Amino acid sequence: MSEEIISDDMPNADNSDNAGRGQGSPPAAVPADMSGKNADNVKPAAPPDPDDDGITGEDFPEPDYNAPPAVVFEDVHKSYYLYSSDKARFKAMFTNNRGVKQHPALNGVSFTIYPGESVGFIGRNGAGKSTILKMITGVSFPTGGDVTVRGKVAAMLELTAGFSPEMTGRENIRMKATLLGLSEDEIEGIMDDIIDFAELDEYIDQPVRTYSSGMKMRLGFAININIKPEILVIDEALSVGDARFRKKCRRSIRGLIRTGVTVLFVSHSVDALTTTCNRAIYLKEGKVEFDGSVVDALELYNKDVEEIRRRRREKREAKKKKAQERLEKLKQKKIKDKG
Amino acid sequence: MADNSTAYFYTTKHTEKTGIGAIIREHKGQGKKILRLAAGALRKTYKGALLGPMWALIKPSFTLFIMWFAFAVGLRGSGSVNGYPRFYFMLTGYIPWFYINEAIVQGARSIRQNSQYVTKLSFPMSNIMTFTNLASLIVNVGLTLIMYVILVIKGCCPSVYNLQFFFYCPMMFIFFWVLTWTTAPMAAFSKDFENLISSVMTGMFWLSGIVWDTASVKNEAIRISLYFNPINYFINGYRRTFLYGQPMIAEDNYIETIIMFAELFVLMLIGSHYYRKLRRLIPDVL
Repeated sequence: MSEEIISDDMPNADNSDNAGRGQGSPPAAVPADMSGKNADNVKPAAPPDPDDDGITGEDFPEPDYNAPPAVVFEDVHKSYYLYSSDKARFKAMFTNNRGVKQHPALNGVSFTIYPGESVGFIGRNGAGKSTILKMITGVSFPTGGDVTVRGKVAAMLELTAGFSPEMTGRENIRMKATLLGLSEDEIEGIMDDIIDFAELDEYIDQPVRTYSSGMKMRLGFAININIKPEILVIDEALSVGDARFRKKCRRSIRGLIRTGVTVLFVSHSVDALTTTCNRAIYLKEGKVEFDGSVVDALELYNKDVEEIRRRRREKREAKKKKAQERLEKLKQKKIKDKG
Repeated sequence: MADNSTAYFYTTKHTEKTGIGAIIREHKGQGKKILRLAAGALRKTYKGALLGPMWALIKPSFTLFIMWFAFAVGLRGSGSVNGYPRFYFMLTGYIPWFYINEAIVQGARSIRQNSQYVTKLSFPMSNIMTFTNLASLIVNVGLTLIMYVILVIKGCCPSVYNLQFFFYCPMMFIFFWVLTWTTAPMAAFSKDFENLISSVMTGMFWLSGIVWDTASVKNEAIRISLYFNPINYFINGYRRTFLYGQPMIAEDNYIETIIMFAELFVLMLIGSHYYRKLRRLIPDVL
């Protein structure tokens, strides 16, 4: 799923979670209803959502450019080692990875994000978006260069990560909040909010292994949104539960943005990007190709995508042409043989 | 936002030059969290059972009971070691062994088993080894208490030397914790290493002086080479503390003590090296 979905809204890539509460989500794309942020410079304005809660992006606070930056990337390089076999991996422990093939994911990425900014990352698959998000969440480390992050990070990347199936929902909340660095009092303070938000009711005291995937997702989302993050990292599909719950999620994210959190957003959705972000970074082959307004970034990205499509089309046509020629030749040969 | 931005600050700049430095930094202010994770790890293992974490005590106690039955009731003629009934001799060896075995095997597996902490969350990796070892230690302190009660009933204890427990037990924890600095990242990196360790540990039980006395080996060369097995140092230490009533520093264990500390130092260097080297690679390979 690369450029094909550029105009789709919220591709439900991992929407296996509808099983949860039976309502099921309509297959029709749900428009991101965070309208109005950059309304003046966007040509196709987002269609008004009939169920909009009336909150628009206009009251999003201005980013604070004088504060110490929230995220700084300084000439970040990252390459992954590709071990040819388990034997090579074992050997690499003692040979310092000498002679192991490397795959470069980032080739010198630099940018600075200030508190309150909402930045969209766009780029084709393998451009390094996920690697950057992983580094911001402190999971992956750069091979070269430096990453600095100021503020509590909530990652909407792997919502169900870190749950232990044998423990109850409540215990898992406690565990995960502890891992995220919250104190005992803080956890007790947000416990009810989380349970409320996740809509788990009596299931909260059941072991997580009995949850459906949708319930797990909702719990994960509820935890991340309620720990009061300062930096919110969102990857693409916010397809949590059914349409109603998804809307609730978006509303709460918007609520968070209004309180001035920094948002880092990876998406291919034009709608979501234009309504949520006030800045976009276009990544191409592990480098920052463009850093600026969302519209310009999207334009450039679309142009590149068009270029690739065109090239692909040409290739296809060339192939067709060749086949046609071959066919012609055969036909002529047949005629000759007959004659 | 600025008010608590210092509380959540993360940078890859100015990273420590040594693994020890990194490990110390990763443990700063994490004490409470580690304790809770250790308790959580225990709860997680025995969750779903009515008796819960009590199983951690029941299982080894059962082994001890069988042992008692075999040596004190069945094989009455199994004789005595250094003038003590074989059952007491084995009991004082078995208890530290339970911990050592857990610490080495579980410690080596710890990162792989808790891989979600490494690949999905920003979590100081060295804390994983700490809370895993701590969980084993909590169980072992309980077992030691049971052992102590038995020994007191049988009249071997109490004695002033029992206080040496407060040296041997933390020392044992530190030693095998430092060992996991090397083994856990390596086992996470390559599964062969994990299998190697479990295989070695099965043999270690018989190579260490748990059921037999290392001090009474006749061959001088073998006896001295046994000093290099740190497991013997701790097991004999427990016996000095609870059974023999000997001081922890005496003429007959100078060499053993020195060798143990030297080994600890070497392990620290190796562990520091491998931890630093593999810390950043492990999230990519797990």
